[in-house]
This record gives sequence, C-alpha cells and structure tokens, in this order.
Amino acid sequence: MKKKIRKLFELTRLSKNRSVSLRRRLTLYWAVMLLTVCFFMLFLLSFTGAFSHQERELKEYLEYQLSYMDSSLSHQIDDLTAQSLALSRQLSSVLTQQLEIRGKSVKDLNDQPDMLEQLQRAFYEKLSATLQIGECSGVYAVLDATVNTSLESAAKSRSGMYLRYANVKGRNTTGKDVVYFRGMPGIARSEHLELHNRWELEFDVSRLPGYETMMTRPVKRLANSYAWTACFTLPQTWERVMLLSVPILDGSGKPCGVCGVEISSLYFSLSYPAPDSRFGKTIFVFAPVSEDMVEPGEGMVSSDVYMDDFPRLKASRGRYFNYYQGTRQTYAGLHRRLETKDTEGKDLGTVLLLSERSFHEAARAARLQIASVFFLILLLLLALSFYLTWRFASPISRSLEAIRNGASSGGQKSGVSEIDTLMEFLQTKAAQRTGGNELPPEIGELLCQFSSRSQKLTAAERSVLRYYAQGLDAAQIMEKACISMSTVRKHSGNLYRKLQVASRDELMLVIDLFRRCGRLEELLGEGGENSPNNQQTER
Amino acid sequence: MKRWRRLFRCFALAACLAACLSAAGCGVQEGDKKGHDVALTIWHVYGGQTDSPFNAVIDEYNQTAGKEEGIYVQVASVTNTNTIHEDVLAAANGDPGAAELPDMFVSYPKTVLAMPDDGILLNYEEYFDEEARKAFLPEFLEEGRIGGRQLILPIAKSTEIMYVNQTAFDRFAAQTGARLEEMETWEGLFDLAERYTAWTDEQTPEIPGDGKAFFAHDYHFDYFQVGTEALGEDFFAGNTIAFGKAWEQLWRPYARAALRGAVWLENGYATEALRTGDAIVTVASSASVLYYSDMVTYADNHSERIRITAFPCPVPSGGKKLVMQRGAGICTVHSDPERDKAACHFLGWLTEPAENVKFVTSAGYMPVTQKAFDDFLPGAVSRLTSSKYRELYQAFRKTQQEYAFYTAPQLETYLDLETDFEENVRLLLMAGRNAWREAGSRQTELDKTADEILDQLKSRYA
Repeated sequence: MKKKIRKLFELTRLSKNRSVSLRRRLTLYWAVMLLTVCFFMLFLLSFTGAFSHQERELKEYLEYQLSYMDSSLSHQIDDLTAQSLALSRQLSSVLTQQLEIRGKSVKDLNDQPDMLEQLQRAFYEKLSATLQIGECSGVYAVLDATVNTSLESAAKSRSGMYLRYANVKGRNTTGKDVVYFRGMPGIARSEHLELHNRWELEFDVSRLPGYETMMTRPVKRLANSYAWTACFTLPQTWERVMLLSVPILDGSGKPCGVCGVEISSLYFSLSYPAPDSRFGKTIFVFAPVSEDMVEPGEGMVSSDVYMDDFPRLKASRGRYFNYYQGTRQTYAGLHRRLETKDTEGKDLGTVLLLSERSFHEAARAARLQIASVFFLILLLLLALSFYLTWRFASPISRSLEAIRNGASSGGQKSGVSEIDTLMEFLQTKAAQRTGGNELPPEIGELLCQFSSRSQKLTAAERSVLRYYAQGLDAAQIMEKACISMSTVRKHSGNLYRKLQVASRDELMLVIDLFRRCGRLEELLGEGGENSPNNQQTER
Repeated sequence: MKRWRRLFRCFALAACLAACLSAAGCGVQEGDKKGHDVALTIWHVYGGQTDSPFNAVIDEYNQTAGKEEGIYVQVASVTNTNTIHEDVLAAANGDPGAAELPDMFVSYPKTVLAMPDDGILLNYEEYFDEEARKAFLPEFLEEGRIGGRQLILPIAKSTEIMYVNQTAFDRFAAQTGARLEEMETWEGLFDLAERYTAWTDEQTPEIPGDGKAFFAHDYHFDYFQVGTEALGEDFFAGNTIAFGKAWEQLWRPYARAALRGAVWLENGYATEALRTGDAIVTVASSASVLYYSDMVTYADNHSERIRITAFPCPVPSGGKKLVMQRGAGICTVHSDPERDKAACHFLGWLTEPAENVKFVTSAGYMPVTQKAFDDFLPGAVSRLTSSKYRELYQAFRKTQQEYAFYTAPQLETYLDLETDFEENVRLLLMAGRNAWREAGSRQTELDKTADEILDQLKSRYA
C-alpha cells in the first residue's frame, strides 16, 4: 500500500513538470465549478428535506416490527385459547363427575365447604398444569356457588381458585413461585403454596370483569364462547391483568362457572419489550382496536417511555402510517386486528406507536447529518476550485513577471503549454536581438565599419560622443564638459567627419543602432556612455 | 502568504460550521428523547403483591425529578428478598433460564456475599461523596459495606415487631385473664400460647385436639440468634451454631409450645396465619404491616374486622433488650457511567429526608438519615391516619428508646445456615408434634420429645 502511495506522489510530482494546455486546465476548472454548484443545490435540497424518505423508512420499520410482534402474540393467544378451552373441558368433566357421584347439582354446592374444597382439590391439578405449560402469569376457575349464603356479601361471593406467579421475570416462567390468590387455604398449605398478601377465600364477582357476560351468554359451541376481559387492577394490588374467560359447563351444557388464564401487564411488558428504533422508543399495545380508535387504557402496554394516561387514541390515516391523537401528544404508528374479541364484543388488536415529536426530531437530525455531509463536500470542492484557480493563474503570472524582468527562463517550464510556447518564442527573439551570428550580414558589416572609424576618435571627441549617447545636446554638453561652444562645435564636426555622418540626427541613429544591438561599448569605447571620463567631467 | 492564511481561515470556519451542523443532527437525535433518556429497571420487595407504596414513590419520581433528568425507573418485579436472592444468584451465575439482572435490586449482604463476583456491583462511594454518606446513620451504612466497598445503599430499615390481633386477644383475655404484659418475655409469650391452644380446644369439646395456634414467628432463626446474644452468649461458632447454655433457656418454652400446637409451624409468612385466624400473635418485620389485613377470613368465608396492635419484640427473661436490625438496601449493577449516575440520582432522591420519610411511613420502615429521624419522622407519624400504622410507629419509638439493634454478621454461610435451620426446625417440631400426639399427648413426654429434637439439631449443626 505504501509503495502505491509513494508511486502516486511520484506521478503527481512528475505530472507537475509536464505542460498541460490552458484549454484542459480551464475544462477541469469549469467541471469543478459545476460540481460545486451541483453539491450546493444538493445541500439546499437535503437541508429542506427534499430527499427525505424518513416517513417511508418509519413505515417499513413499523410494518416489520408490528408484523413480528403481532405474529408472536397471535401464536401465544391461540395457544392460550386452546389451553383455556381444554381447561374448561377438563374442569367441566371433573365437576360433572363429582356432582353425579353425589347426585347433586351446582346449586347444591352452596353452603358445602367440604364439597367445595374437594372440588377445588380436583381443580388444582388441572389449573396447576395449565399454569405450567401456558405462557401466562396466572390461571383461575370460579364456580357459581358460595361457601356461606347467609353472609351479606353472598350475592357477589363465589368459590374458586386463582393461582398466580409471584415473581415473573420474563416470558419463561419455569420454576417461578406460585402464590395462592383465591381458594381454600387448606389446599395452599397442603400444596406448600404461599397465600397471596391480599388473599381472600372467594371471588368478588362484581369486580371480576366478564363474569356476568360469560354466565348469561348461551353457549352454542365452546370454541366460540371465549373472550378477553378489559385490563383491570386486581383488587388491593398494584398489578393490572387481562383474563381470558371461558365458561365452565355443567352436564346440560349450561354455564356454571368461568375459568381461564391471566396475562399481567408486567408479564406482557417483559415478554414483549418495546423495541428501540432510530426514531425513538416505541410503545407496543395489546388492546381493543377499531378503524378510528385504539384503547390502550383497556389493554396491555409495553414501553420504556414514561407515559401519561391515555385511555383512548383517535386514529387517522396518514400517507405512510397512521396518526393517533392522545390527550397530551400525537403518535405515529400502525395497528392490526387479531382474531379475538373482548367480553364487550370489541375487536382486540396490536398497536405499535412512536411519539410523533420523536420521529420528527429524528428525521430532522438525519436531514441535518446528510446536509452536513453535502456541505463538507461543497467545502472541499470550493477548496479544490480555489486551488485550481491558483494553478491556472500562477503560471501566467510567473511568466509575465519573467517577461517583465527580461529574465531567461533557463529551460524551466510553466506547466501551461501555450505559455511555454510563448516563452520559447520570446527567448528566441531576445537571443536574436542580443547579437553574435544572429544579426543580418549587412547590418553587421555596417556596425563594424562604424566601430573601426570610432577607433580614430580622440579622447575629447570620444567624450563628446558619449555625451551625445546620453541624449545631451550641444548646450548641455558645453555645461557638462565645461568647455566652450566653439570647442563643442569643433569636436562635433570632427565626429561627423570621422564617423562619416552628415548630421547630429544621423549620429543619433548610429548610436541607437549600436544600442539596440547591444554593442554600444564598441562605439563609445571602454565604459560606454557611463565611462569614468564622462563622470569626471560631470563632476 | 497572507492571502493563503485568509483562505485557510475561511475554510476552517466553514468546516467548523459543517461539523456543528452534523453534531446538531446527532444532538437532536439524542435529545429528542429528552423526556426519558435512561430507563432503569428495579426488583424490589416493598409491598409484595399489594398496592405497593414503593411503586407509587417510583411513579412520583418518574413524574418529577426523574422527568427533569430524563430518567425513568421501571418496576420489573415485586417479590421478597429470598426470591430476589435466588434470581440474582441465578443471573450472576449465568444459570440456564435465568432472568437478566435488573439495574437495581433490593438485597441483603448475604446475597452480595454469595455472588460469584461482586465486582459487577457499583461502589456507591464513587457517586456519594463523604458528606453525602455522613448524612446516613452509620450503623445502617456500615451494614452495606462489604469488602471495603459500599455495595448496598440503605433506603429503609426495619426491625422485628410483635403484632397482635387485639380483637381475638381481648376475647381470650376476657375469659382467661391473659395480659399483654405477659408477652414482654418469650417465656411469658409461650406460656400464654399453650394456654390459648388449650382454651381454643375447649371451645369445641366434641372435637378433641383441635386447639388453634396462638403464635407465628417469621424468623425462628432470629429468635435463637438474637435471644442467645441477648443472654450474653455467642450464637455462632465459626460458620455454624454454638449450642450453649442460652439455648436451654430459649429452647424449652418454645419447643413445648410448638409441640402442643401453640406455635404455627407451616410454611409461609406469619401474616397468612393471622389472616385466616390460625394465629393471633405474630413476630415479623415491621414492614409486614403492609400485609396485615384488618379482616380475618375464616373457613366458612365469614370475615371479621379486627384491630391490630403492635409492640416491641419480646426478650428472654434476664436478657438484655436486643432486637434484630432488618431491612435490605439497594444494590446497583454497574454498567456505563450514564446509567450508574441515573441510578444514584434516583437513590439520592429517595434518601432525601422528606422523601425518605414519606416512603418509609407508608411501608412500616425507619428512615436512614439522622435528619429524617429528627426533623421529619415525628411530624409524619402524627399525620398517620391508620391506627395500625400509628401503633407500629409507637412500637418503633419504644424499641428505639429501649432496645439495642443487633446486626447479623457477614458470614458466607449465613444464608444457607438460616434457610436450612428455618426449614429443619419446623419440620422436626411438626414431626415431633405428630409423634407426641400419636403417643397420647402425655405431659411427661413433652419435655422428652423437646429434648430429643434439640439433640437432633445439635448433631446436625455441630
């Protein structure tokens, strides 16, 4: 890798020595400028969200997650329903058997604590088995009979058994402690079960949702007679639960009790932890749903976000997902219906929600990040264009400077082929002007003749010639040389004669020719126009 | 050169702007969860399956101080210390099917001592400076100091209190002349227990031997541990139990009462026995006040509203007034600095005197700072509306004034020893009771049976 990088640098260095045409440089420059403009447009568009597809992404995410969790919950509910139906059949069978042996009916169980306890003992095995195999947090069975009809509370007190897990930690409930929430305490003691802190002997069915519905609704097929209760708080506890209720049937097929399983809100949230998304924390709900309403307050909610109460959310359809309006904020999300209903006949379903504010902020953050990337690229392109401008202009500037200074390039390239060509031409021209074999022969001969004639000049005549070479006239020469005008005229006449020129003007032409050819020293002698004699005279 | 410097400065500025834009994007993405950045889970024991006051405290935190800081505490489990102990060890050892450790959990030192690596726990000294730690009562803080590190932070302490179903006791007292003062000593209590069992048996003469239990103790191990120490002897000999002279004084009345059926020996908490009318006096943690119902439900579903009173724990005759200091603290599982800081913020809020007193007085605990005791507790107690709670805090005050607190030693074998002893002593006594009844329930055999069981205990733990 290092070798390749080194080679690259070498190539770059070598390429600097090659001449690249102005046309190509300009093309590159314009290309960079165009890219800069493009990225500037991209930056603006990304900043304003024109490229934003966050909503589509959120929709895909919600669909995927909801599908997954909905599928998992559906399976669990199906299994629990099947187990509860089986439990109901088993309890019905046990009940029928026990009553037939004694020749009794369910009504005859009233005021019969011993019989009720025997039944509960028989029920315990089935309930315990259902609790262990089912993915639930509790199981219960209640009969339409009470141990003491003389009590004031007898009208709403019914005998039954309710087993719950005491320390649910997740979906796996293997080995968890079972507590005895309702039932005969003797059974708890013989089965070494701890009594719940708020244990009572019997159920208060006035606080058991769905009981009346289950007991009064005629049963055509057991498999169609189950329903989930709304979420409610177990009396005198902190736990909220939903119960799956199935009627227990007597020998004639009439409901004489209710049984089923429990899912607590804690168990639900541990089994279905709401996933984190890049748009924020989500909320997963199992509750009554309809086209335009979801009711989390009546169901189970799993969330890592602290939520204020929102019993109902009004749903409205958006382009990619739904919007759910709560009392304090709006949520984005999706919901689906499950093939199950609650005891009030409402459809139950699953909902996946995300705070709309959280989504917008995440989308804005994503836009800002994309915009900043484009902005960085834009900066780089601007830097590149500045650099290219400098590379474009500096050879020209350098070359112009060189021309102004009259310096020879000494063979150095500017890197621009047109400029290199111009420099070569100028160098040629300059070389031609400065002499040697480059002057035309007749001019060279003429200069030699004048040069040999100037050898015959006296020192004084040469001095006057130098003054003329400096551009002085006769009057100025008189002052400079401190000689009289007649002397100046005399020396000037001698100059004309010896150099064979007719006038001062012709003399000036000759001087100018020698100057242009760079051979003025030949004509004027040592020191040329600035000889020490002239300088001494000037002094 | 100047020009280049100017250009360079422009580009540097522009690059900074781009970086700021990008950071703003990231910052917004993080800050959008401004409501709750950190969600912490906690396993606790306050309230069990009841309407937990601690859950209400957590709700209050989430809506106030927690909301400001972006911290949300979630209750993942409400059980008891033994269950948490098992679950924590299962998680710490990576047992199959074990639940993931929460961010915080209630714990006794015995749980930390049993962990394979207590390095996973946060040392609170990193977040509570010396001044903050000085605010706590030193003996409470010291109990949570293990291996030179503050691994357990006390948030509420309790002690053992005697609860009485005063309604049933008054009925018994009216007919037999029993007095509450008799229960100031263990000997008096067990004597009263035997009389109660005999009296209840007499209520149903047609059913012999159906006398009810009088007394239930949640911690038989503590009865002997604290009793031995109160009589001036060491309960422990190394990692096991020392059976000295004190044992004889403690064992005989206890075993006699148990063999007669006067002591409740079933599994489960003392509150259960009281709730079903199967006992009328209990010794339990002061915090079990939450679980005592004002109703007793009998086997015929008949319920009776009762009055519950509370008294300091009995002491052995001639022994000093010593009582167990109870109450677990909170351990925090060390993760990243943000979560550690969030957990300490919550615990700091919880142990602020005003908040601490508000919580403890709703759950039957003592606060953990001196300022809370001195400045806030008296006022809070005077505002209690439940007679049960008022009784409890009167008993608390008397205990504080007259008793010394005993702290269990930090032995690695403590929990195993305690669990084993609790189970075995009950089983041995239940077996002894059955055997004694089958042998005709003769008085002469009672002490012999009691001594035999003691010998079995000695050989088991020698």
